[in-house]
Amino acid sequence: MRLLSFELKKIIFSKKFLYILLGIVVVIALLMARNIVFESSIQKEARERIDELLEFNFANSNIHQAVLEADPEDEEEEELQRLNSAMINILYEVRELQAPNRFEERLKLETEYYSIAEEYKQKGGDHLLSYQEISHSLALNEKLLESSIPPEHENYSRALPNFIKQVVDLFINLGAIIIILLLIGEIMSSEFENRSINLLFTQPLKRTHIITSKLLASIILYVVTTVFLLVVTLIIGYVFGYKGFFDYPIVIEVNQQVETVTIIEYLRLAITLVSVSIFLIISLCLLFSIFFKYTLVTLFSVLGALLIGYVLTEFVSWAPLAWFNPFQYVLPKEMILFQNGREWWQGIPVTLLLTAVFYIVARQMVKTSRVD
Amino acid sequence: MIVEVSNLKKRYKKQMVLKGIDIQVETPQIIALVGPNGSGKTTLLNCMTNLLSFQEGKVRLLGKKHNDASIFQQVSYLQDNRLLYGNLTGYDHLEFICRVQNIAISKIKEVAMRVGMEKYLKKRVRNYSLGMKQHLLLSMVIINEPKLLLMDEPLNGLDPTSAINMRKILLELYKEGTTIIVSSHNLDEIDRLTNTIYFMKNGALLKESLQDISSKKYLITINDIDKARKVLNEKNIPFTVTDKYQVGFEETDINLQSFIDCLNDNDLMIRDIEAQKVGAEKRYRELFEEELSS
Repeated sequence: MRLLSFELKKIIFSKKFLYILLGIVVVIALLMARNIVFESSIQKEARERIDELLEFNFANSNIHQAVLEADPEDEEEEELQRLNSAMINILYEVRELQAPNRFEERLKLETEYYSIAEEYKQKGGDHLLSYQEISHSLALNEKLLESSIPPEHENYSRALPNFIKQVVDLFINLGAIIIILLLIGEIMSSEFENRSINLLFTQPLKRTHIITSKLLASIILYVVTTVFLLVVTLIIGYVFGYKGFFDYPIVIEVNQQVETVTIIEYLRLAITLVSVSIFLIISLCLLFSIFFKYTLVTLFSVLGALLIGYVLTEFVSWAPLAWFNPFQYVLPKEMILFQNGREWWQGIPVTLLLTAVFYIVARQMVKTSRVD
Repeated sequence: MIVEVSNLKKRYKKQMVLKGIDIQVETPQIIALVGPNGSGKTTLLNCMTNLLSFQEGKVRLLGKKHNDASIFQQVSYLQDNRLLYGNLTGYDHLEFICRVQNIAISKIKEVAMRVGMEKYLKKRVRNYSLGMKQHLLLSMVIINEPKLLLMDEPLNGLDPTSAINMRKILLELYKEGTTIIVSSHNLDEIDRLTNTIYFMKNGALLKESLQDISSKKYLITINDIDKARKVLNEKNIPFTVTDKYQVGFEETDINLQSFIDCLNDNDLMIRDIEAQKVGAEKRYRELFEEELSS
C-alpha cells in the first residue's frame, strides 16, 4: 500500500496524465459537436436512402416489365413485380412520414417494407439490402415498436444513451488500448531508462512488491480514466443532448439468430470485455518492460503481440479457439455483436489466466533484474 | 562487521571490471573511494547494494547478505540524481522514504532543515538546480539515520556553501557512528573529510591511510645543506633536497631517530622537524602518474 500510493502519485501528478484527461474531454466534445452539426442532415440522409431504394426498385420494375412483355405467362416474375410494386408504394409513404412524432407509423411501414424485401429476395429477386441488413432492421424496428422508442441515428444521435454508446464504441475500438499504452506503457520501462528503479531497489522493499504495486496502480488508473470518460460523456450528453432511452435496442447475433440487447446491457458487456483485455495488456507491458528495459521496444512488442493476437482471432474461425485465444477481446465490438458459435464470456478465463501468468513471471524476473 | 567484501570479481562482457576486491570495515569510519573514471568505483558500490550482479565473491553489509532488502533499513546509498522523479516534489520523495522505512513524517521537516532545503521542499524536482537535487538526495539517505552510508559522487554540482554543509553533516553522522564510503573526484574535499582512501585503479583496490603515510614523511631544516648532502650520500641514506635549508626524509629501514643521530654525529644542527602532509591529490599523482602524463 505504501508503494502503491507513490506509484499513483508519480502518474497522477504528471503532465501526461493531465494531457490524456484533456484529450478525452476534447474528443468527446468534438463527437458531440459533430452530432450537432450533422443532426440537420439526418432527415436528408434518410430521404436519400429512400430515393436510393426507390431508384433500385424502379430499375427492378423495368426489368420485371421487360421480362413479362417477353413472357406474359411467367408467374414467378409476375409475383416479383407485385412485391416490387408494393415496396415502391411503401417507400413513397415512408418518404412522407419523416416528422419525428410519426415514428411509429414510419417504423410499421419500414417493417412491412423489410418483410416484403425478404420475401422478394427469397423468391429470387435482387435487392440492395442483404439478408443480414434486413433481419437486423426487422429486429430493431420490432423492438422499437414494442417499446415505443423513437429510432435514433446510429452515428449522429444526441440521445444520451446512444451518445454514450458512440463514445464507448470509440473507447473499445482502440481508444482504451491507446489510452492505457500512453498512460502506463512506460510505468516500468522508464524506471530502468531513468535509473530511478535504483531508488526502489535500494529501499527495504521486496522487489516483487514493486511489480504488484505497479500492476495495481495501472488497474486503478485505468478504472479512474474509464470512470472519468463516462462522467464527461454523461455531462456533455446531458448538457448538449437529450434524455433518450437506456433500454434502446441493439441488434446482436447469437448462433445465427437475431436478438436484441438494451444499450445498458451492451455497455456493460463492452466495458467488461475491454477491461479484461486491458488487464492482459497491463501485465504484458510489465513483463516486456522488465525483459527489454526500454519503453519504445516494450511498446512495439506489446503492439506486435496484440496485432498477432488480433490477426489470429480474425483469420482462425475454429470455434473451440474461443476458449484458448486470450487476444479475442482486443477489439471486442464484433465479439459482442456476433456471438456465433461462441459465448461472449468464453475467452475471459484464458485472458485472466494469462494476465496472472504474465504477472507471476514478471514478479520472478524482477527478483534478479539488474540495471547493467 | 560493518562491511565485509571478499574477493569480489565482476566481469562485464569479457572485461574484468572488479578484480577481487576485499574490504573489511569493523569500526565506524569514513572511507573515500578515489580513482579515475572507469576505474570501477560506481560498479563496486552497485555490486555492494545488489544493483549489479557479480561473478565471484561475497558481500555482507551489517552482517546481512547484500541481497537481503531489509539491509536498507540501516544502509543508504546516495546515487546520481537521475533517479529522482521530476514531476514529484522533494517532500513526496522524502515522504515515500518515510513510509517504506516506517519513519515518522515529522522527520521530513527536521532533515530538510538540517540539509538546508526547507525552502524548496514543496517544489517539483524538475525545477530543481543540480545543487538542490544533491540536497534532496542527501536528505533521502540520511533521513533513516543509517549505520552505513554509501555515496557516489555526492559533491557533484554543489556550491561551496553546500559542499561545506554536506561535509559538516557527514562528519556529524560519522561522530554519531555512521560508516561512510564515499566516492568522489573532489580530492580537496576528500582531504577535509578523511585520511582513509581506497584508490581504485583498473578494478583493483589499493587501500591507504594518508595519516600513516604522512607520519613517515618529514621535512628537516638543517644549518648546512651541502654538508648534510655529503654525509647522507656517504651513509647511503635516501633523502630529497626540497630547498636551500631543507631535506625530505621518509622512514623505511632507517627510522627518524637514526637519521637525526647521523646528522648530529656529523656536527650538523637540526633547526626544525616537520611531519610532511601527504594530501589525496599528491598521492593520486604518485599512483596515477601514467594516466596523468598521457
